[in-house]
Amino acid sequence: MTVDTIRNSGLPEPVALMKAVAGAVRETFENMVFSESEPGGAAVPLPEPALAIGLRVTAPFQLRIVMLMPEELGRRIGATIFRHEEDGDATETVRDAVGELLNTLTGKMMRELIPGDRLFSMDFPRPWRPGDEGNRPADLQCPFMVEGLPFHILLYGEIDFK
Amino acid sequence: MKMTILIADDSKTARFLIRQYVGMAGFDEAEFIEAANGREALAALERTAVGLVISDFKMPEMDGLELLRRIKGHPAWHRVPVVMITSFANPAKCEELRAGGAFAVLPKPASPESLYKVLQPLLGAGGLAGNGVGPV
Repeated sequence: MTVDTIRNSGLPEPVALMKAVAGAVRETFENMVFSESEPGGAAVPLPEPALAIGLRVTAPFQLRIVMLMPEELGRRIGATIFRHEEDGDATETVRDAVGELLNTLTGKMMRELIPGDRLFSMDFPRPWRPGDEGNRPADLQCPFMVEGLPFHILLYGEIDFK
Repeated sequence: MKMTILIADDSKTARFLIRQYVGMAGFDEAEFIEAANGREALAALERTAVGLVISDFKMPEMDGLELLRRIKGHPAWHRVPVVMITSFANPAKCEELRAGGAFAVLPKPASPESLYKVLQPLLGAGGLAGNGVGPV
């Protein structure tokens, strides 16, 4: 699919998509985790073990967005949000917190990309494995750093990002 | 004056953040009850007098739009204000939810400031507790 075809189809262009991802990540981390995120430049390999949560956008185009981060960052996010008032580093709580972070930033990204008079839809955040995409590489990978730790946003979709 | 706020969201994190933000917005007298979907929210409304509902849109089993319709169609609950906080809050979705009777629609991530702006007029109109209804 060419850029012109993308324009004519109403699908977001890759550059617009990357800008929307970066803006959504920045605002969501500031609001929910009170942390500043920075674009990570070249993709930094993630330390293991990693936590991966995915969410499918189902309309007006098909897109899977995945948040991939070291478990340590997930635990810090859970602890920051819950401020030690609840068991913020319990596995289920961390997954819920990262899932809500992904849900929020995806909504923010879609509001940026889709004209205001059009509805969009997306599924619930769920744990994700590379096999969910047939082990193929992501169409677009956006690396970030937060609190000195790297995390990645991976995009798989019907858009030709090349 | 004590007010009871029902928070409906499938995410424990979202429910926790809303509780925090409502308190930070200055409404620290509020009491909260929580539900993970629309069905649980309706069950809570049957049991408890609620002054305000804050609901997500996308929830399993029963979503926020259906919950809104049930509340606005119920003779005992239709005056309870419903504030929707959702990732889907673009102009088209806001219009749909307001047409369904939502008092206000806020995009995620919400903030104490955005909640204050929405809740303050409700308090000024006699207090959230004044909108409460008894269990059916």
